[in-house]
Amino acid sequence: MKNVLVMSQSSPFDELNTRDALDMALIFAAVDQNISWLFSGPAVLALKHNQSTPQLGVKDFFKNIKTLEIYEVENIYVCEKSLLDYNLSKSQLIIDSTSLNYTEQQQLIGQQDFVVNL
Amino acid sequence: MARFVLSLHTPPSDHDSTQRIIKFANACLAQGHTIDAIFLYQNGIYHASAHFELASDELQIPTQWQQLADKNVNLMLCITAAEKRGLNTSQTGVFTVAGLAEFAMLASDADKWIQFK
Repeated sequence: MKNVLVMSQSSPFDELNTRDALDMALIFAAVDQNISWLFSGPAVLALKHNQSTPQLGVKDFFKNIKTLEIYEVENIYVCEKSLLDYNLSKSQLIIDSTSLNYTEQQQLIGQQDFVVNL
Repeated sequence: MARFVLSLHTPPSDHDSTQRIIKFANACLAQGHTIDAIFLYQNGIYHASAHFELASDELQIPTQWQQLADKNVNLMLCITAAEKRGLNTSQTGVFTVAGLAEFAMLASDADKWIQFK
């Protein structure tokens, strides 16, 4: 089994990046690998509550993020500094996650077999 | 000798990442390593377009891929990413239409996954 980390660093509405990352996380879980997903920078906004996709005219992929745990994508990490930058607290996020400082993020990356930036 | 999978995430207009992945792949093969797959994902899927019209002094992208295909490198593209971007998936040249799951299984068995973007 491989440790695979998906890193998201772009806003949820920047291209299809967040959706491509979501697909990648789900598929590696489906083939029984140990998948983790780290959100940093504007990517933390993908976890913010009360996002309204009908108004934006995009597919509601936030509901898929909410159900990640069911598909065994359970290791969700957020950058502590990015939460501060966007004035978010853990209670405003749509899923359970672990916030990491820079040192902890380095350690997380160090534990991986594969890291992919999407 | 290591087993590699490579993924390409940028479109053909990014000549830098295109040349890096092709040179890396050729260097891998030259040193006796194995490439289990090169996978086109995100905007990388446009490399499988059948509609290149390139002047002779341009970087000849389809020719470069053809040379890798001639070395029996498994060239794949992500069907979901391609369909979302309007690529004609019935005409993808040297690239085989594949699912993300096929890539994930190949990657899980490989020693190294290198991402180019």
